[in-house]
Amino acid sequence: MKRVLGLLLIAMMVMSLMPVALAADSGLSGTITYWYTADESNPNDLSAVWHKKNIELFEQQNPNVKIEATVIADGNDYLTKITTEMAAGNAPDVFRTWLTGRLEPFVTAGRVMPLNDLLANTPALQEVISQDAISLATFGDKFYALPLLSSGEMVFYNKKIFADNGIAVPTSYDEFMKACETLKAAGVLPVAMGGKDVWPCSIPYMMIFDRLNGPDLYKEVVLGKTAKFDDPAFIAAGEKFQEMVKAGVFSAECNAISYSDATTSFAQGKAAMIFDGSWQTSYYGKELGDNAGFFNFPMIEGGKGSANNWLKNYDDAYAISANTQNKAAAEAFLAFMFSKDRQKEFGEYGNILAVKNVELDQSKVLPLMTDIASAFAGSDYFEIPWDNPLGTNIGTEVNVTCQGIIAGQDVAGLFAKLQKTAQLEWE
Amino acid sequence: MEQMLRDKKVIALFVLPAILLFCMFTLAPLVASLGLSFFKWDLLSPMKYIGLRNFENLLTLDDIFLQSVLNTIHYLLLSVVLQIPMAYLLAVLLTQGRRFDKGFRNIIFVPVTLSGTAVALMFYFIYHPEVGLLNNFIRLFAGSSYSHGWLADPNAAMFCVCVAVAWQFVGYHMVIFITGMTSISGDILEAAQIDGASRWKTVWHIITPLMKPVIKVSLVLITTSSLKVFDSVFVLTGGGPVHATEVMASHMYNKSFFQLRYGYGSAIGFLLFILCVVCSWIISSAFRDKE
Amino acid sequence: MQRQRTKKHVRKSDFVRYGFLGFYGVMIVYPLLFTLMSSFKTNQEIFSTPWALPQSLSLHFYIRLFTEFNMQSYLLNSLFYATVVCLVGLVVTTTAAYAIGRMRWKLSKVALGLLMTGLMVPMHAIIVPLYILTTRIGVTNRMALMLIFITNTIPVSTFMIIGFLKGIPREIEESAVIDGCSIPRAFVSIVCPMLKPTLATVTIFNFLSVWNDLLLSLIFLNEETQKTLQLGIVRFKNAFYTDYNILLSGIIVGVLPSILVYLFMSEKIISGISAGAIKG
Repeated sequence: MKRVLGLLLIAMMVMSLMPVALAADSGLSGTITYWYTADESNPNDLSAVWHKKNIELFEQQNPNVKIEATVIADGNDYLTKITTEMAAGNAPDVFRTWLTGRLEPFVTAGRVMPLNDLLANTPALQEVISQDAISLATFGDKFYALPLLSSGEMVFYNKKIFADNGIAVPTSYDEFMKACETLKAAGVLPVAMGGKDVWPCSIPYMMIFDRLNGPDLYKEVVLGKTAKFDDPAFIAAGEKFQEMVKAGVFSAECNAISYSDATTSFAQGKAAMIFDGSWQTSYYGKELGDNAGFFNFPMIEGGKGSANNWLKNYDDAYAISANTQNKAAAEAFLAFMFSKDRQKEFGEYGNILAVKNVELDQSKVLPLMTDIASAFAGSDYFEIPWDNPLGTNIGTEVNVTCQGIIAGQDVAGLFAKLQKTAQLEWE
Repeated sequence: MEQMLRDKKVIALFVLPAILLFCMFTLAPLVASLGLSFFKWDLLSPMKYIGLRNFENLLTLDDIFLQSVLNTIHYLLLSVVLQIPMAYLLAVLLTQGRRFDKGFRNIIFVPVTLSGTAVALMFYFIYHPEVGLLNNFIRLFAGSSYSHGWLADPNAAMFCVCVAVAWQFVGYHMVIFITGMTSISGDILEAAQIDGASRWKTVWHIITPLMKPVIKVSLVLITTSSLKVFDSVFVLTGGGPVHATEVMASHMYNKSFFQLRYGYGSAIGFLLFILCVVCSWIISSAFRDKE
Repeated sequence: MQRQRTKKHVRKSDFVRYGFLGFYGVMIVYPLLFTLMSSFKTNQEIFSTPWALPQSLSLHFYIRLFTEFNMQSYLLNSLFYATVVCLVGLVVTTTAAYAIGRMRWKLSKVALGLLMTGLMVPMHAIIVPLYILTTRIGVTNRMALMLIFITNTIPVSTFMIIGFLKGIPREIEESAVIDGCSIPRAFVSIVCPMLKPTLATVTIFNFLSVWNDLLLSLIFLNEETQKTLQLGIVRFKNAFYTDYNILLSGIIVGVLPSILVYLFMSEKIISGISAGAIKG
């Protein structure tokens, strides 16, 4: 009798363990919603393909999980949609978000989940996520998003045009201006600029500002959000920038040209240079081949900033909603996106990764991209493009100020207006 | 007959569906939005009541808002001037029963069928400094020194936007006028013909007075849609250069969604609403005596 | 209206008239032709030779729209939404316009004022409360979108129909009533046919407002299977890169149904006019 009972007990234990054993293969279940941004028509940007594959592969590995995806191509449209969704109290489980000043409202409102536990519990993630990358998503002692992309801003140049005109990569501001003069005389547009979209106008300004002043004032005003735009340093940098504009470095009507048109112009060899970001590396690499090169803006005589200070950023970050109904699946999917295999594929599609320790098949990667990545790695100091930490109001107004400088408006007046807006915002 | 026109059951049957839908999906959100203008809300955290502070800031401290109001009124005046007379003229010309009338009417209406984004894209190309049609024509006839960055010029940008919008919507108002003109009884027009009146006399003395209700419809529609304009401007210029074409609706969009100040944005919406009501009331009063 | 027999000799005023109309016609057609031609060009061609004829007229991009980008599904969705909204909207707004414009009741002016405020409402201002409302009452996605579209047709349509109703003399209904018709009967059998040009005009405008809508579709639709044509086209335009030929092809594909609907409706306008004229 005891033996029968004993056997029965063992049988029951085995039977109760079986579902657990079976479930261990696909422990996750349920549905998660996933909102992301991707441009499906851009042949140089395969991230749309990558995202779709993420979903396919994850669902294959976890047959009881269903992912409902929503994809939007345009950043503004995405912003409108996600904020409306949040306002209604819903939020997608896993969604694309921003960093620093643009992530802050979500964190303060408690709408995104801290990811510290996820990182602590997932050794695979610890191998690839760098402190630097999550620093821009950190508030207090927790971080809230994982960026996919590492991006930086620099000057791309067309090697052939330079060679044809006997120009070497400029090592000082004066050399840069001389090069532009030579180009103009030869009838070539020195720098393509898409002023219509406003934010490209700020890139040369931020670089000039750094070369003249070094990082201290930037730390105080931009990172520290102190309203000091009437400081003569800002105006002096603005005037130097306007010098460039008046010397005809950009086209006189560049404020009427969109950013994407300016990039096409450079890619088709119609301009010698463009102040742009590393996200275009694939595009320029493909269109210009070996003729695509880059350099960081050179130092300015008498200035405090080194030519090895780079404008760098992280972008395309993903977060998990604080109210997610399916935390396990959401976390697993996010971790999956950042697994070595998926990241390797993402990198080979022509993106500079925010993660570390992922070996890419060099034959698939453009040498230009590898060069840029090493330049970032060896830099002296990083500034984040200002409109990120400054937040959406002042950030945009700084960009608009730069657009005004290009339009030839009075520099002191522009900064006075900016100062007034900043005081209103921060005091 | 009079009694039948007062039949409550028929009235209710006819009017309630519209009223109910309207109250639920337009009026309720409108009231909510007006209410929100007294709060501070970033769409993410709970709302905070702040009374009239949004309005105070708007009217005294927000330079961009004040400029956007001026820009919006500028846009309205330009739109009315560019669209209504032309639409009326075209309607007069194309209801004479002449050859090709139908063809012209159809061609002129085609732009109305396009989306605002499509038209903005087209005109972005037309105004393009390098490859644009306008500059190419100018270079052909007047020399390259006159070629210009139209959308980059704060003084010209608004006019250029209004031309693009007028290109699209003249056909809309033309169709409204044509529908009105063709509804005028043939007898009256025949009588005028028999009396020997020329076309222009007929238009001025007979058709136009009878068209007053239709003209009112057109004016109210163009006024309200111009005051609320968003797509056509935003896609073409983004509100630039340097806020030269920032209209109230684009400023509201930036504040509400981009800067996450939904209460403040709602306050702008409230003022925009009031502006529309005032302008419509002015137009209605101007036309009331004539009825 | 009887057609005048065109005189044999051409008058000076005809030159002016046709000259003006011809010039205006060219101003309209040229940009459209430009868009059509550009949709056959590569990005390279568009920027180097924008005003030249395209090098090849291959339908390559158009085909890609359907094979790669699911354009047919978007087209059908847009068509479905637009048709439903136009039909329901027509019924709802015409009856309301008649009640307000013709029937006698104390609150008619109030109702009119109420519906007119709909003209003054900026959509971006109410989108968030509207979305919250629909999620709270449990109406989602497509249903919500269509109900909102129908509601949005109300102000403009009733306003227009009431305006044109004024041009129809009351004697029409009076004689019908004398003959034993009820008001609803008179409305349906007599007034509506006379309103045909107006109703056709209103239908075109409503169709276009649904067909070309972007904001509402963006907010309310999540699933690919429900998305509209405009959402499909917008996939090709983003901040960093614009593949103009796919985008322009999408625009052309989007505009063709609108033109067809317009041509169809404008026939109705013409036939409605002749019917009205016969009565004398």
